[in-house]
Amino acid sequence: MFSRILIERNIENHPRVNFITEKFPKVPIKMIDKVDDVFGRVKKPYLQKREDLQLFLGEKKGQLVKEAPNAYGTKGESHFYFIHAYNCIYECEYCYLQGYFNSPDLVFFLNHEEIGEKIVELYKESKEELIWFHAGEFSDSLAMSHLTGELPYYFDLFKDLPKAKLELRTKSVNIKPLLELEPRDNIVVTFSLSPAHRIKRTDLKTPSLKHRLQAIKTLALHGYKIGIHLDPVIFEDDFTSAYQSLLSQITEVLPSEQLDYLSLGVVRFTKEVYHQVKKNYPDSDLHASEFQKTPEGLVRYPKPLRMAMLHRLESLCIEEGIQKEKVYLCMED
Amino acid sequence: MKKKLLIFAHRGEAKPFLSYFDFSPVPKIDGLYEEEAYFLLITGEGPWKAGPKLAYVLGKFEVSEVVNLGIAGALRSSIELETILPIRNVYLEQNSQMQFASHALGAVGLDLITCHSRVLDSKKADLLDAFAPLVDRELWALAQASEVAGIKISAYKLVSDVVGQSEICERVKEKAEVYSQKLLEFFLSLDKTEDQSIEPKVDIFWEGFYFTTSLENKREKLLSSLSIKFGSLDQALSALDIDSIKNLETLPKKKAILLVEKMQSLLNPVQKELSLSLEEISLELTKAGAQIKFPRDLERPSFNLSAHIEKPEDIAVLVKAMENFDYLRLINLIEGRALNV
Repeated sequence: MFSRILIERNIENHPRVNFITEKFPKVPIKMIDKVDDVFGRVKKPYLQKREDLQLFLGEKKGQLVKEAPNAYGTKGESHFYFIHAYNCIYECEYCYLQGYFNSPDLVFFLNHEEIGEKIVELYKESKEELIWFHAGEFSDSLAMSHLTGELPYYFDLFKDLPKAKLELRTKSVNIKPLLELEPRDNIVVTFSLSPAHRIKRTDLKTPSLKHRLQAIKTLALHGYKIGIHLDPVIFEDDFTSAYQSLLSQITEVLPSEQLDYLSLGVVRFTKEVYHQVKKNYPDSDLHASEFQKTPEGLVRYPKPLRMAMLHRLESLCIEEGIQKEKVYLCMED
Repeated sequence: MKKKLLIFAHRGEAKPFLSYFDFSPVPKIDGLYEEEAYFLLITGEGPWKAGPKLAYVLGKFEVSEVVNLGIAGALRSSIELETILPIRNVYLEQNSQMQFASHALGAVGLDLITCHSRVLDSKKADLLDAFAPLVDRELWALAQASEVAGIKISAYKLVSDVVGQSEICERVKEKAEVYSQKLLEFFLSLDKTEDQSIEPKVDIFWEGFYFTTSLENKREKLLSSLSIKFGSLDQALSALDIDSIKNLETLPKKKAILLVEKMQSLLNPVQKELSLSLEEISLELTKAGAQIKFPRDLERPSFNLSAHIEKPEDIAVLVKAMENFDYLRLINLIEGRALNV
């Protein structure tokens, strides 16, 4: 899976380093001073990850928990995200990570206790009734969790933070580590979903819709709260029927009381990311989409189309029996 | 006729090539040779020599492709010596700092760092090894010059030694002849079969149209997107029904404009619908002689209005048209309530 593991010298003997490296006994290891000395210092082609993916193990420095941008999550609540990894094993054609780090290599930060301290600090400072912490802003929260092994730590941490919610956002079906833990009301596992044909065409190397729905069903039966992200929604001729069918499949496997929220977001890019999409996936049907470049440097559908799509999706959700207050529009304020 | 340019740092590396092919020196350009199918350039060692020399040659001669052949040092002992490897990405080191800009040369092979000075100690080798397994002295500069000239470059390196484990210069000197012979044999064994696939010839369809450069660029971009949308170029052309425009009794340039508009409508039917709705909304104002400009991204229900007033009646007509303007309809359109998706 990895061509090489690069480890910061100061954590050489960290138990989490051993936990990870033991799983890859044949992969060469190189010691480095700091991840930042190497990762992202030279521009590496994004698609190199297909043949030659390196893993960096280090400690996150700087701001460990960051305030989320406006309209990031459910309205009227406070949102933060924490960074415990960079990059992802999947290859979604629209993914902003392809234009973000200038390197496709994976980085796992292992100083979860420091991240946890910061979460507690923010929790104590907060006067909000509910404060959200999102994992997986720059990675998939679950895809590699069997390797990184941090979930028990966060489950334990959030046990004592009743006014906080933790979102674990994923496209994976790697739910075994979750099934070994006791579900908590303030830990929501959220799945990004698209119609089956769209996943096949655009979410390269990710589990199929069928498998993701099965994972949702299993977790819901186990007692987990589930969130659904219909994001990014891509417009195509059979848009309405495709999402009608998707929503019906979701409600079939997910009892309404287990659904924490459902977010809707329409595909959008910065022009830098769109440039990368063109370079990396020149034959993608995204390039035949009705995008416009905005003066702010974004590439997205014109507002009338975005809004029409969101209105339609909202009504489809309601027709499917999903409570209106559980549906929110992402990044559209 | 454009020729491939074979490029070497040292005369020793190029020697068997000079003997094998019928190269003769190009007058007044030191290190440049020419034969029927190839140029051959000897640049001298280091990026400062190699880059400018290649840039000069690329600016002066018709070169189809640059191929760099030469020696590289390995930073990892796991790399087998005396093998010839294609180079995938090339990075640059300067004053012990890695430079961000890199060049991707191919999809397969190993990565290489071009260094400003020879790498002789294992401490520096260890630092560089975090980025790539091979080092040389020229390739990044060659790739930079080729990129500026818009010419494809590929590189093949014979791994001569592991940096820090031997007296590099001595070893290379001793085996120079063997290495360069190996490079020649490798080059001759490269699959020379040029890509025979012929791009579908669509020029024939444009007879009877007149495309300015700008219209031609638009046409090509749109055709490429339509091919993706419809699954193939043939299907895109069939959906386009070019003959329906070709047979119109109008000027060739007008036909080209109509064709590009048709391509845009096929690619962006929703945007076409929006633009028709906006035309409808502003019909009375345009009839009153006003010009309306909506923001291109339609993020807000706003527009700019301009009109030429010559007499009092013009004002009265314009005021009436403005009073009748259905602003609510515009808001509904922008907010997506008028589109049926």
